[in-house]
Amino acid sequence: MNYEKQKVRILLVEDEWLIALTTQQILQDAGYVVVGPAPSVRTALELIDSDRVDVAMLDVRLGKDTSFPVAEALRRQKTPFLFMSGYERQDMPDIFNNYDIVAKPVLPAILLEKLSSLMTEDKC
Amino acid sequence: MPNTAIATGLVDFAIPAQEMMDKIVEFARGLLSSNVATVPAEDEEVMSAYRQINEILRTRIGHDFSGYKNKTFYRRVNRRMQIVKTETVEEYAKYLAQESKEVNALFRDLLINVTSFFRDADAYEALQATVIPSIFEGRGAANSVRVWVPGCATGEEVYSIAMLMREHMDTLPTVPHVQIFATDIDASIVAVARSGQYPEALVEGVSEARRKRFFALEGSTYVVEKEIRELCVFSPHSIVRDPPFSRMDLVSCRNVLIYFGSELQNQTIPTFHYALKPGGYLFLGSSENISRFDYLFAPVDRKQRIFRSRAQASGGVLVPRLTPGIPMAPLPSAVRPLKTAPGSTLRHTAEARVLERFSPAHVVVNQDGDIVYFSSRTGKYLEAGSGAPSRNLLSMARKGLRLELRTLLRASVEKNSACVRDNIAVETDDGSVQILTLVVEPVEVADQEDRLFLIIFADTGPLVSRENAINRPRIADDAIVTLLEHEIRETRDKLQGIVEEYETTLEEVKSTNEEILSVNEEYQSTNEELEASKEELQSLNEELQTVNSELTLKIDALDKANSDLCNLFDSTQIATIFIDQHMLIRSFTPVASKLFNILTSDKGRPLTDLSPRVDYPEMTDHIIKVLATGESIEHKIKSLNSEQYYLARTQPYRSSDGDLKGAVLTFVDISILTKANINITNLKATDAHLRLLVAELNHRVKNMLSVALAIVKQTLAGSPISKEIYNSVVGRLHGLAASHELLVLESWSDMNIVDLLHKHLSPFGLDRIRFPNTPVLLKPREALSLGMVLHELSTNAAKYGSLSSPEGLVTITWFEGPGDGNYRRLNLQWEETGGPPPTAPAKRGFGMSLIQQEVAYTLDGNVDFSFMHGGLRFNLDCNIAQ
Repeated sequence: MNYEKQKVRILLVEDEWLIALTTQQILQDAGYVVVGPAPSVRTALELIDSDRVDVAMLDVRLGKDTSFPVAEALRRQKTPFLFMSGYERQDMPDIFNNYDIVAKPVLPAILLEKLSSLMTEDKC
Repeated sequence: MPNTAIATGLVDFAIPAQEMMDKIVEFARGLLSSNVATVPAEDEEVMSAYRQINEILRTRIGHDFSGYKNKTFYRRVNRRMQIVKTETVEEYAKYLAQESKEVNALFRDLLINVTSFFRDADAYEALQATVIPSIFEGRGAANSVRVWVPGCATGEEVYSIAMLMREHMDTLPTVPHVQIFATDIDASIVAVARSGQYPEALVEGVSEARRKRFFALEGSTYVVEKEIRELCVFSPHSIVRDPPFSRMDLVSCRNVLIYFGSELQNQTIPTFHYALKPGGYLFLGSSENISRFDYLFAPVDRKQRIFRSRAQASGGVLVPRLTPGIPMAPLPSAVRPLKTAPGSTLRHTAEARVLERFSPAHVVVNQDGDIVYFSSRTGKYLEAGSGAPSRNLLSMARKGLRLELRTLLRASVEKNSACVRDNIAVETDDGSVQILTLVVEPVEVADQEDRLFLIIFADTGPLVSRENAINRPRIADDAIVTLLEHEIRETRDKLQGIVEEYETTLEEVKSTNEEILSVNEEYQSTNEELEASKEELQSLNEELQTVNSELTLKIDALDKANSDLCNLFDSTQIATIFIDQHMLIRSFTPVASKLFNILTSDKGRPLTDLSPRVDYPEMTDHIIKVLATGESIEHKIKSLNSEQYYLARTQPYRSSDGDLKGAVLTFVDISILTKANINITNLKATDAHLRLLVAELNHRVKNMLSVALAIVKQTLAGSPISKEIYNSVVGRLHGLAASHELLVLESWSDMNIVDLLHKHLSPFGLDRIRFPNTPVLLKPREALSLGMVLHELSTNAAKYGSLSSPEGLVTITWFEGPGDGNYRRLNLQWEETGGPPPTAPAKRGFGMSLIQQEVAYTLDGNVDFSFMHGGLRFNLDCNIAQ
């Protein structure tokens, strides 16, 4: 799949506003369009329904909830995504074994690299 | 109390109180109008009505009142007439014939049962002083003392005597068997007496000491104690109609005879004599007497009417008549003394003198041959016989006269006319012979019920010698005549012999008859005793039945309890073994059988014989200890071949009265408990470990923040950035650290908004920042966000707002209200006053943007900044979790 950078829409799910703000800036600086950021499962699912989402970045912990329902929805519609969290692999459900986990705090360079590799991998 | 009164039968009306007044008035009127009737007119119709009444009583009740004193009888009848409101005796007799209830009422009234405890105290004292000690004298445990109280009424007299006897018995070393037979004609009154219950008013005559000793107070009723009650035997009995009791030591018959007419009295007093042992005592009422029977009784205390039976009364044994109205075979010895005709005038004296000198010797006898009158000079024809004195003509007649007298008397009785026989020879003591003519003729004497006969012994010629007498009748020298006379004499002698033989036989028959009669009396007495015993047995039987039904109930309850216990045994999972003092198994629960290999057949075997499946070698020691000390012992044991743990508890088994009767061993399965305990221990360790980890983590985060702060400080210190930026970066990091610190303190649990304000605002001086002490609990995340907002607001106020001038104040207020779903609404206001005029509201710095975005993003709320004249006014609305 070939992505035009200007057109790639990234769904950002992150409950910590300052982190969301910072990440959003990194992504926007790199030329992506940020959908969100969404602080909750409800908002994220609404955005998936209403907007085009090409790629997604999910924080695992959203307040008391986890972003697994969002991940499940994305997996089902075959939208590539990665987790961005302090969680380790062993803390994750097995069905998401194939998805990458970027540890927080993440360096902008690594984040962008992961993103682009996610988009070049033909996962869809 | 009213029921008891009604039960005595002495109450005429049992009616409600409001009707009583009318009844009394009515009764008083009847009393006035019937005054005339109290003295019965000598009217033949009235008399026949009375007789009719008597007849009704005799047929319906079986009791003959004809012997009762007429006056008493009339008075009682008149009383009943007033009550049933009849005017004349005839009407009453008719009424009586129709109403069987009235017959009973009249019967009750006629038997006035007025008595009281120790009635005539002096008389009872005399009884106590003289009679009772004498009765008990020389009686041992094998003997018995018998007392008869005929006409006992409601029993007061009986119990009075019983109390005296009891008191005397207390002074004796050995006590004879005492029986007090209490009888009354009225069965219902006997029942009252038998119950021995008296209202307080009736026991007033009893001294305080006796009341305490002999009565039990039940409510307001005095009940005669058992020791007195057991001395007495009650039974219905008529002195007049039924055969009397016998072999009595004391007969107490007080105030009964006064109601009897003279004939009935004359019948009754000999009855008492019969009933008494020789030397036995008779105790009569103060206005009664033995009248003319002083040959039967000797007075002991005339004033108190105490008499003593004469050992051998003249006239022989008096057997009382059983059935009045039916004549018994006349007994020659049963003398009825009769009044002699009085004569006192001069003429009478003269005539008597002449008669005495010139008239032949004569006697007057009744139809039984008992002499009621002797003339002078009868000694030639009569002589006193041997043995008990007798007044019978035939037993007194001299030889030769007896046969003729008997024949003539009988003929005269039968024909009711004079009979004469001439030429009778009677032999005198000196052997000479007197020829005489015998005349027997009936005489009419006024006031005498018996028919009387005059017997005249008229001598013909002087006394002659025996030879002359034999030769005297030789009127013809005829040999045939002589032969015939000889034959006649022989025949006469033979006849004489036969007559004598006959008389002897007759005497024997009589004495046999008497014996039979007295045997009969004995039987009768025994029968009475049996009946009394039967009555006692019946009451005992009733008691037993009550006890039995009680027992049945108890057994039922026991059965239930037992089945409950069995079910408990079967259902309980606690192994329990009951053993006795010798460690023998008494019972056990099914679970215990698994633990100890006990079979039902092992009951009674020593527990120590069995091999338990648990590791409990100390068991025997423990049991011995428990049996010795009575204190329970607990011990934790393990099963021999599985991972089962038991709590073995050995406890003393105590009987209901607290005695140590064995021990109870219980084995509670505590395996699960033990495992749970281990789990808890593990959990505790994990918990402690986690706590340690969290503490470590908190420490690390704090350190991290400090390190981050230090890095920022060091990095910025050398860079050409403004002081302002440096301060705001470092300040925000410090604010974050402060919030975090607070959360660590609260262990990441809910935090009070007041504490949050204190933490963030105290560096700016709490005297200038005012907020209420209204608690609102915030979740850690909410607290961090709000902490960030507060930090931005306060640093802004200190830089540009009210806190930048010395007079400026900040006032913070908040309130909490219901929100959507699981959320609450929090509204917070920040108002600055007294500071410099607010500057450039349009210039929204990063601070304001941070506040706005943080609140909107994290708290799902909104904020409003308004720059009033006095300073900033900030309003926050957000949702917080419950």
